[in-house]
Amino acid sequence: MPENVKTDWRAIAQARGIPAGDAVVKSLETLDQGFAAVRAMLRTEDDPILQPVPENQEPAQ
Amino acid sequence: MTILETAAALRASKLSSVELVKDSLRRIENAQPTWNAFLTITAGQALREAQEADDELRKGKDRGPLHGIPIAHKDLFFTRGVKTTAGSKVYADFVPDFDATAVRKLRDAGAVMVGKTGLHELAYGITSNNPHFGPVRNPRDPERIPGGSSGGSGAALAGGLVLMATGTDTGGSIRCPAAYCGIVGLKPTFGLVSRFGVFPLGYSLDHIGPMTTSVRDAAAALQVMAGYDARDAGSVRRPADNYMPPREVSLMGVRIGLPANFYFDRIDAEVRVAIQAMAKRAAALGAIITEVRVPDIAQLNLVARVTLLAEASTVHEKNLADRSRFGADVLALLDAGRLVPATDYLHAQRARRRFAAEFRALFHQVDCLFAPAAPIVAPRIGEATVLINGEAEDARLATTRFLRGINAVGLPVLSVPAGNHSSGLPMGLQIIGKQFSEAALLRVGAALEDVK
Repeated sequence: MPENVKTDWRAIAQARGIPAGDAVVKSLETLDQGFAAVRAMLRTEDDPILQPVPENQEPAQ
Repeated sequence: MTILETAAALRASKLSSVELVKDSLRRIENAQPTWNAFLTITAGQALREAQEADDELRKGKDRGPLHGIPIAHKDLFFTRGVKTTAGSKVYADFVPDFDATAVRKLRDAGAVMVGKTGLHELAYGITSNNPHFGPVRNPRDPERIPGGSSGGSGAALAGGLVLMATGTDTGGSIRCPAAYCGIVGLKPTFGLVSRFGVFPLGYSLDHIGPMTTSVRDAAAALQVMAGYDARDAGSVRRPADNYMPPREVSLMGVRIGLPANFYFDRIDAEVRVAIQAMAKRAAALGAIITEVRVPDIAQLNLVARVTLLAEASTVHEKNLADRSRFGADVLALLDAGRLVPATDYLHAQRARRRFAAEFRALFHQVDCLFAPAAPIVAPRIGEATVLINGEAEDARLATTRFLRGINAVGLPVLSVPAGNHSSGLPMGLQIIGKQFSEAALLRVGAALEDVK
């Protein structure tokens, strides 16, 4: 999501028919702001296809 | 008495499983009006199974240390023929026709289930203040929460009602009640203990583990519970370790990392001192204490939150048509989860790999980390905000601040008591290790326990 764009969570919720109250809207706003740092941290090298799966994380057969 | 002490007494014919189970049932009955630790009590079935356990031991059939021991299951675990509510109105009358793998394994090991313990609704919260079944109360102070979501299991152990209970941990739900109730809780490595037959909350975050009153009891229970299960897509095929610490444990040369960042920020001063005292105790046993920088746990917490919001709403979306069946806090989380962008969920998954790599690098420097389980002691029931060094913080966020992130990287964590606060309430130490290092964590925990 582009930075500096304030998401209107209430409008999105209404459009999707989710009766989100003030507390939900507030928590999403806070989470969105915080998560911006995670988005900013990620690099192309973090894409799974560019990383080997560690041996002990191999999926069960 | 611990499981291991009780097991010895059973084999010496100093007591019987029937006596143990009767005593457990009597304690539960007496405590239930105050602590509300149980949602279902299975007295008849328990007494029958206890009799069978005694008969088997008399005939020389010994199923191991849990044989004849009264235990309880969090009411999130499917139990054949016994109501399994998930602490939810949605499943209030649900009776499974099969046992969860963990339940079956413990039954096969001779453990006797005396009942199902209370929890936060759908295991989605840390207070265990359940709007449908009433609040579970902390035996150390009934005005306070036991933590959650495995709050009933924590209360049952702290109150001496059973010797072992199962728990689940999606964002701290074993470790939080362990810390707030002053007991031992083990969140194993993701994939070590099967989740088959346990109501999910977060597909990629859910962990199953034992809760006990001693470290060696946790080892005995994990020995039974661990192992590959084809019915759990996340189960890992690997040989079982021997989890039981030796009678005498040395920590000579064990490298323990004490985080220089995050884990001692915004923390009650007494909790800080308690964790530092545990590190000193380990050092006195020969451990090498090193200050280390840990990955950005604040970011990792956000990664875990985004992941859980989306996954939990996916799990429960089908039931949201009737909103009256949910408590307000859980409903708010389920609504929020339906609004998390898919791109953020996927960014979170990318970030998890990055954090996992950072932790792998950290565990080349040290064998385990010592960290507080929570920055505070158990809040009062209904207390929305707590004060930490004069600053207000949401009680739920404060409680999970040191717990949640680790679920996103699937690392094992042993939570052990770290003494009492001046308020009389217990504090908890997390011993965090690399993947599948449960045996090492249990050795460290046992060493600390042996000299307390």
